[in-house]
Amino acid sequence: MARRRSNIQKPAMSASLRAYLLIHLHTFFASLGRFSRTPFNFMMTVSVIAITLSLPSGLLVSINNLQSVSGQIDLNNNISVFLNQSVTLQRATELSALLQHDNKVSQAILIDKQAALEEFRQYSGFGSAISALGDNPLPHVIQITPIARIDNQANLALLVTELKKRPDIHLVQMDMGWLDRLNGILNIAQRGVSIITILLGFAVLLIVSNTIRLELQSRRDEIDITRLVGATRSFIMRPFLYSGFWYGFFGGIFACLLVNLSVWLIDEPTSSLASLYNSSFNLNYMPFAHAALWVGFSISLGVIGSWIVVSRYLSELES
Amino acid sequence: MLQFINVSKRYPGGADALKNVSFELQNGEMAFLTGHSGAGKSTLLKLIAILERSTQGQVMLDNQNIGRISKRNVPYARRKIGMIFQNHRLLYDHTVFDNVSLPLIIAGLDRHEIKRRVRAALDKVGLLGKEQRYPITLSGGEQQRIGIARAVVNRPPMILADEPTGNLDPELSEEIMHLFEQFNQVGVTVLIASHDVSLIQRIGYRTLRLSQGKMVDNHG
Ligand SMILES: Nc1ncnc2c1ncn2[C@@H]1O[C@H](COP(=O)(O)OP(=O)(O)O)[C@@H](O)[C@H]1O
Ligand SMILES: [Mg+2]
Repeated sequence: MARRRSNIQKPAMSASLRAYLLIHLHTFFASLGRFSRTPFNFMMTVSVIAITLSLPSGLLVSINNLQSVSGQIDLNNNISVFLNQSVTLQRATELSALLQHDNKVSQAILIDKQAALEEFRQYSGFGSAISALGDNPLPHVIQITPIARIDNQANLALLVTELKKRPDIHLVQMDMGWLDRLNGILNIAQRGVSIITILLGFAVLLIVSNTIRLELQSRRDEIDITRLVGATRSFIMRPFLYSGFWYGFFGGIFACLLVNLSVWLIDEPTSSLASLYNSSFNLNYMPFAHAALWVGFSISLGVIGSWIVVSRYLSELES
Repeated sequence: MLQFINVSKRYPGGADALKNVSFELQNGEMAFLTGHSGAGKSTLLKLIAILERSTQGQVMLDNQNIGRISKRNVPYARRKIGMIFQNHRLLYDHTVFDNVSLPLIIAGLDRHEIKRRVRAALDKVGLLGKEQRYPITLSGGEQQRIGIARAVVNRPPMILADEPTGNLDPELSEEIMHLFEQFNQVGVTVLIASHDVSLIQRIGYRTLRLSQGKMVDNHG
């Protein structure tokens, strides 16, 4: 017997390493090839994963788009400063010039009350009624455009507080209330997406687990036989982990395609709506980095889901 | 050397399949294991292949207590044993080549070496040229030969066969037994479980006889 066993030559290291890698590569793509035998089942699972993941990833794209809308509004936000009735035109002009020099202010335009009344008279259609008033009921107004750098809420709020402290000022009005609310809602929505991502991540895990479980059952004999001839746990697990990889890979890719397809479908009507408001707004597609992250996430879920099922199954078998 | 020392096996919730079994098998020896159905023949072979673990006693192989081998190392221990079954246990949706090469792929040999060894094994069992056939297209005797080729392709020092001729007619059975003799002649230890007493007597090797889990005769 010693004679026999000495015949077993150990392959050279590089050769055995190459063989090892070749086997890996072979199983990797063989697991892909196996799907071609049951394309319907494969597409079912991939579709369910894609649809499940398109929900959180689509929501995230929507939120990003809304944020970029609110960001654009931020930049051309104007503050109207209503002065006290008693303030003279000269004082108002001085104040306007003073504000113009504030480093948070890009532009301060004085709308003198006489001019404002004239304008109102012309455009409102209440011309004769206003004439009947006698006294001009309007105050001087300074229209402030904050500089573009001031795009965050805190600086804007600071500017408003400073203005309010000045003695001649009656009212500072900024149409920011709804913007605050929108941003607040978007923050909550973002948190909501995190929760939905976790929940649906579990759903994907279950989908993959279930699919792999069926695959395991249909290959029970094959597993038993490979175990009989000395297959290690990792050898048996490998093709199933690769299956999980491919489910996750294609599920993730299709999820991103679904989301971008939806963006494409909505983009056209959105930009024509925006053009009604003199804006050239276009929807953002999912950034490539995000898509890569989603596919990576999906692949991880596929591999983990598969690993859980197969390792549990093998643990039950092992003696 | 294979050595059973006071080995007992009780299946969970069942009766004792083996009771206090002791025997030795020298390296390079060939022996038969007989007994009625349910005597414990398959159980004894399963303990050697670590498909089951004994509840008492020691199963020693080359002075190693294989009942103590960790789960992690079981696959490597199994590669030193070629197993053959009555129902062949082949992969029916794979070719003859794929079936026979399985142990070599698991062991991580390179493609060239795998081809060479598979051809050699198929040559020994007389199936050369049928590499690309599917097992189902071959006869029962030929299917059993695929199983034998798979068991020896890795050149294990020991072969265990569980009722290898159970489904075959006497003539084919004798051919199969002759194959085992050939492997034994080049130094492989062979243990064959069979209840075909007349065949065993005709060939005439050492016979271990089990009866209701007890080793009643281990000389033959
Ligand atoms: N997995 C099992 N679980 C419970 N009992 C078993 C199991 N396998 C075998 N047995 C019992 O152990 C005894 C011996 O069986 P076995 O080793 O298969 O005998 P043989 O191969 O000689 O016919 C029988 O009584 C059988 O019912
Ligand atoms: Mg049996």
